[in-house]
Amino acid sequence: MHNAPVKLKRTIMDNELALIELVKKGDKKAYNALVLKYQDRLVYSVYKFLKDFELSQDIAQEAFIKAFKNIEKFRGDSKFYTWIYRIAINTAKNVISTKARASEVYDNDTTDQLLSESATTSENPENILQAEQLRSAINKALQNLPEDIRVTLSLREFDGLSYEEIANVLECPIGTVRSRIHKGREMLDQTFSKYNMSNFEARKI
Amino acid sequence: MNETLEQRLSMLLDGETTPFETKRLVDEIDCNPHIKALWLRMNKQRAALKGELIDPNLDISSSVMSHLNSTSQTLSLSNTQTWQFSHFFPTHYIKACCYLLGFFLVLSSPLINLKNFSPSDSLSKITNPSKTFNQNLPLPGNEALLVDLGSNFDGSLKNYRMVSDNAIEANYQLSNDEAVKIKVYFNDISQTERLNLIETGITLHTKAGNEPVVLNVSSDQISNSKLIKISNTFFNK
Repeated sequence: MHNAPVKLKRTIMDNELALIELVKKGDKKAYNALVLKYQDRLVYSVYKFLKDFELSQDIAQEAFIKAFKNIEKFRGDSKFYTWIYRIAINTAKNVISTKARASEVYDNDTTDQLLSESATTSENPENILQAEQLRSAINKALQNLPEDIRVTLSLREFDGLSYEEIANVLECPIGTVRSRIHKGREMLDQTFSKYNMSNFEARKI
Repeated sequence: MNETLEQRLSMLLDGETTPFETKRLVDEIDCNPHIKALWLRMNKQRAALKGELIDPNLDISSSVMSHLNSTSQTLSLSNTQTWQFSHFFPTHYIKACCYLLGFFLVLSSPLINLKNFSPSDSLSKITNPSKTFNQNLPLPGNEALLVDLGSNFDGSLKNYRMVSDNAIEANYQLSNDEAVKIKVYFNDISQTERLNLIETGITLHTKAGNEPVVLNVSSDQISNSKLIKISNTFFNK
């Protein structure tokens, strides 16, 4: 019984590795699924570092390409996201170093100076505002979910518990956890789709 | 049936599917536009919940995948084979062989057709090329490529110069202050140049698309075996 949490953790890790193993065998479809999974988070993380939206997208794209080409080097000691995040930040640092050389200023503070300069150029305010509104709408929709669904989904999304751990905490069958989480996501998806559709209409006008 | 598929997609998002289910869902995402769109929205929804959504319309997946799909096969060294080569034969043995080979070539050049000869033929094999050997990259704007090359072995680009219209020489500094020089020839080179390169360091003969690329890694400060390891980092297995 004491070993249960360890076993659960291993199951989750193996699952992520299953997707990575497909990529290692050259399955580009699996890699596409991974890119779709992590692209928003990675661009956001790089953006926090550079404060340049266009550049953050380019760097995230470059990081995904590098990661695919070096996927053999990923041993699974850490999560895939941690690994690709490191690649992205190193790529960002290289870009900053290149900018520093291009400016022909060679003092040691150049990189910091360029980082600080790029930090003041916030781009694409319209999209950032849209994202902010969507974040707000989704969180509001989460609060309006039936309590059992909200609690189950929150344990998954914010506390990172596995289905089995949630089932233990809430003392319910794992199948119930599965269906509650799916139901919650379906309800949030209605808000998401509605919001995106209205934004699309607004952009057309 | 469809609802079951969507529920399993939700499980994939949480890493709660078996390897077999994972494979099936990956195939489904690839061939079913509805499922792909749902997968995209599910991930955006999660990013929004966690405050990590920066642009609801962001999707770089197609450009990433089209880039990966456009990468073609070319000649290069494989990591494993070179590693084995350097372990089975000491560095001085490799050098001696190179000198003998060069000597033999000089003597026999009038007798054989040198056009078909490549000094590294015995070391080369067909494998996937690195993106950095994309022949479409414009030569004058190759600094990003050089920085990228350096990032493979944690080398910081110090400076570079155009050796000719089709060749670049770049100097890198490693974290322990050792210096590495890389010459990249974006065309085939003469026999004399090839023989000269044998003496200066590790030379790789590869291709970008159908065009030949010759790459020479050298250093006054580090051993040939380490240079081989550095050169291996430029290629996929």
